[in-house]
Amino acid sequence: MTTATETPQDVPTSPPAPSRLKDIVRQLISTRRVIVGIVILVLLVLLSLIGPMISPWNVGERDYGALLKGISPDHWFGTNRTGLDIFTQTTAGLQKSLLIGLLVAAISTVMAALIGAFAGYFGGITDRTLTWIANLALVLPSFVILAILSRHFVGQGGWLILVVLLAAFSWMVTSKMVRGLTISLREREYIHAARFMGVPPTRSSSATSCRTCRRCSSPTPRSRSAPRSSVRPR
Amino acid sequence: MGKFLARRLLNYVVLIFIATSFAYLLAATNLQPRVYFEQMQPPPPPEVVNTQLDSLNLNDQTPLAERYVTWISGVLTGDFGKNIQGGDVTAQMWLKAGVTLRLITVATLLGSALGIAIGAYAAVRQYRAFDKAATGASFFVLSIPTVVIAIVIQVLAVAINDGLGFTFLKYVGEYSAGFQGNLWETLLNRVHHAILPTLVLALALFAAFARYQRNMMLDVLGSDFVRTAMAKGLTRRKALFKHALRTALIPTITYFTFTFGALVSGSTFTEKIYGWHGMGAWLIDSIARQDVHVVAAVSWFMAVTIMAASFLSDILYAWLDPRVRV
Repeated sequence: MTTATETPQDVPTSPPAPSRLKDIVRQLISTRRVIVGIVILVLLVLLSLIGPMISPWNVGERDYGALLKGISPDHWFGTNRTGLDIFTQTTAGLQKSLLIGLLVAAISTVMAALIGAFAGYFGGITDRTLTWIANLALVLPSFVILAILSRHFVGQGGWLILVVLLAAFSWMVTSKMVRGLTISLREREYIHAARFMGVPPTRSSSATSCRTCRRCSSPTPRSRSAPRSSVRPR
Repeated sequence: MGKFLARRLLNYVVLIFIATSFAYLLAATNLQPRVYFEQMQPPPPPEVVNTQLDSLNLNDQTPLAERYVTWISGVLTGDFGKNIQGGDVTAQMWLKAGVTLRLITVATLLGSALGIAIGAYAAVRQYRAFDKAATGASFFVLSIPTVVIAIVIQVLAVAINDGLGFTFLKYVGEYSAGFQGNLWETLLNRVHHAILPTLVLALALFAAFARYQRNMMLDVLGSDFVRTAMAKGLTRRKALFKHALRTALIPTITYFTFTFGALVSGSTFTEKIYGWHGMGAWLIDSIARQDVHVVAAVSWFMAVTIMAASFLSDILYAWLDPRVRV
């Protein structure tokens, strides 16, 4: 009786399980827009890192011989009225700006996906509460609040407060879109199947519908480009 | 429908109340009106500062709750308190709102009409030369902050004026200081001053509207009812205008009301750069002056305009889209 000692070679080789990550990466790389965007981002990061190094001036250094001067070999972007070199200021400031932008985008998108999915999936009192909070956040004058609190943003760690506040004021519109998508997905068969299989609702709502929403919304660039910057000052 | 709108309205009132209270409490705890008086030259004695602050209900030695109750009971009767120089905030608010309305009404109408027309046509000609040019132009404008657009146009105006040798374009203020003339001349003077800032805002809005309308139109163009409209024998022009564009306009109208509502107190940079003393400029100045009551009043005004826009878009939506009316 040697059947129990089957060697692995005897098993017919099945194709490797499809990997979501691999799929996404392959899809992204084959899109030209994504490549262009990544290249621009990488260039910006490089500029922010290399800029202060190759500049002959330090961030806080003032050139009292050249106040409010235009572009020159000494000052590639000119100087401001206190003699600070604008090129150094720009590239050094870009580091923090990039970090703030990336963090705010990541945090607010995660918040929007979670809140929207929960509101759409559970409905009822959860939905009403979350929608009401989103409406309140939309009504709160974010620009005024940021301006009033601006003196807390200077100094060590102040930019983290800015990140939190910016994220707290930029999730609402996306979360409403996710909520709408989730409602339309809630009654699909595979969500029912997941529920009958005993997957707890928190998991099925957050994991499944977030993923599906993302999948539904990502291939159509049109539906994503909803305006979200209309409240910024002009 | 009436009951639904009434409930919405009540909800909005509650939201406005909370938002304004929040803004007041934040401003009262973070701004320092005392510093504003102490920095006067020559510095006034502390007792004088205290009496001043007391008369304005801005004294940080009074408990916050007490100041808040005094302020909110004034607001409920339509009195937003005094600004830091002792002026009446309510009267000033309507003055500033008038300035901003004169600035943004033409700009939003012009910008959105242009954007809708270009966006819709670009969608019809998707991936053709016009669409590519429109997409390029609108992305170019979208990637420039409005501040930069405003300053560039101002610099260009100065160059044009210098080149022509006389003031062809006005770029400071709402009207010439001390201008005297009959009604027609005053109007002309104001229009002359309004051209450039209106252009700036319209340009910035055109880009957003063009993108938005193009996307909405593309969504509609692929749908069955447009195909049906063409199949039943309508001309292409008629099908596009009466069936596609009309449907694609519904979400844009919502967007329009929101843009308008946000811009009433959000045209800060354009107002500051072109020297119009409107809502947005008032807000910035008041924060620099540690003026708690003005900040709270502007927050109230912002909340009201956003809510009004939202309410209006609800009504318009119900009016335009029969599916909502069930």
